[in-house]
Amino acid sequence: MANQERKHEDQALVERAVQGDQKAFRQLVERYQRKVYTIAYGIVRNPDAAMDVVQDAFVKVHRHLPNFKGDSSFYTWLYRIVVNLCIDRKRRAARAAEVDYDDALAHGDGFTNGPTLASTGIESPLKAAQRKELVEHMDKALETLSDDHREILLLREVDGLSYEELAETLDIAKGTVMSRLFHARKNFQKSLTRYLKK
Amino acid sequence: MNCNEVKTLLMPFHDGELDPAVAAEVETALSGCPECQVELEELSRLHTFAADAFTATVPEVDLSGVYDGVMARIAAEDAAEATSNAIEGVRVQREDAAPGLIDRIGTWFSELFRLQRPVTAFVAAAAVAALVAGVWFSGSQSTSPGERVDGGDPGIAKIDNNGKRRGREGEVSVTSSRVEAIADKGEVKVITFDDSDDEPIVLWHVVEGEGVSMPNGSSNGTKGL
Repeated sequence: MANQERKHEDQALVERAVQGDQKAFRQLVERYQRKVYTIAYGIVRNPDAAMDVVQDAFVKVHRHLPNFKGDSSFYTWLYRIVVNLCIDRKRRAARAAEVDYDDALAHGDGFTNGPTLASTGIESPLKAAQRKELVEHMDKALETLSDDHREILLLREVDGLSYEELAETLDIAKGTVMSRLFHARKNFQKSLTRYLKK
Repeated sequence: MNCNEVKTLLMPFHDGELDPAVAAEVETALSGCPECQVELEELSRLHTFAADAFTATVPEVDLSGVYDGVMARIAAEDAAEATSNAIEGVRVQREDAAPGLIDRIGTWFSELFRLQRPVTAFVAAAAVAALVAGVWFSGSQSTSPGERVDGGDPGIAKIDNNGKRRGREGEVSVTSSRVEAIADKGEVKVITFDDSDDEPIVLWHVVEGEGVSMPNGSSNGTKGL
């Protein structure tokens, strides 16, 4: 579904839900519950904790829906709630240190400098014959990432959020989005190739 | 656009974040730079791996109960809040309570002065002062009209409360209620009355901080005060 179309549909559902239409609220929940669970699990890495986050997020949405002005899209608002709940849950003390995007490139930190995914010979992980083993490796590779990197990678690669939406959802500057996304991808690439070559 | 410039723009190009004119320049430059093409392919592969990694590693869970769970949570929280508010806001007056101490003293003095017995009144005032001091030091509390009753002997009392409360058969406008018994720890039994007649329609069993339950323990949450 095109982003614009999704936004309009969400907005219509939100307006109905605010008027007290429980069916509309139900549709919003059912439309996003899987995505919310995926994001929550991707960050907290625990099935029960992720389910708690899903419940907490929609309770929060229900409570604050009348205050949602529609300045941003519903899903970035929702994802921000989810990410914040995950962050609260994990009570992280400090964020991973950021290295500037341009600096990293200046040091030759491109995606072909070092081990590459191309060298693994796997084109599509989900189609690979050794799927179960591969999933385990991918899981381990995700575990090695910092929370910041998992969050941004998840929101970009799974949900396709734009840089602007990422900045809004994660409450960071757009420049930080590029930098963080770059390093998240780099670290994931390193980690994954390490596991896949074992 | 040279190779280094292309590499700087490769990630936003891959992510569709470049201005169309700049993206067209990158595209043109890419055709003459095999190294950049390999880099772009790796970015694309990385996207596939990351998307697959997240989706493939998410456990299979049944999410069909999420909506019902969310609504039950909201209802339980609302009920807990309403209960808390109801208990906080309840002002009760014992129907059978004698007048408050001050009222009684006032009445007594009026009577003495009406009968023009100042000496008796003076002696009585001293006795009353001693009595009040006794009450003060013993830490006793009187139950005067309008005061909240938190404990003590069971008794009949009225609740000054016109608020809407959810009833067993939907929402009921409570115009009068009776506290049937007051026990320890804020446990209060309340009989509510419908507007239409004076028949008690439900016996509530309110336990502060623990939601609301019916006397037989069969009900909770939204059915509470």
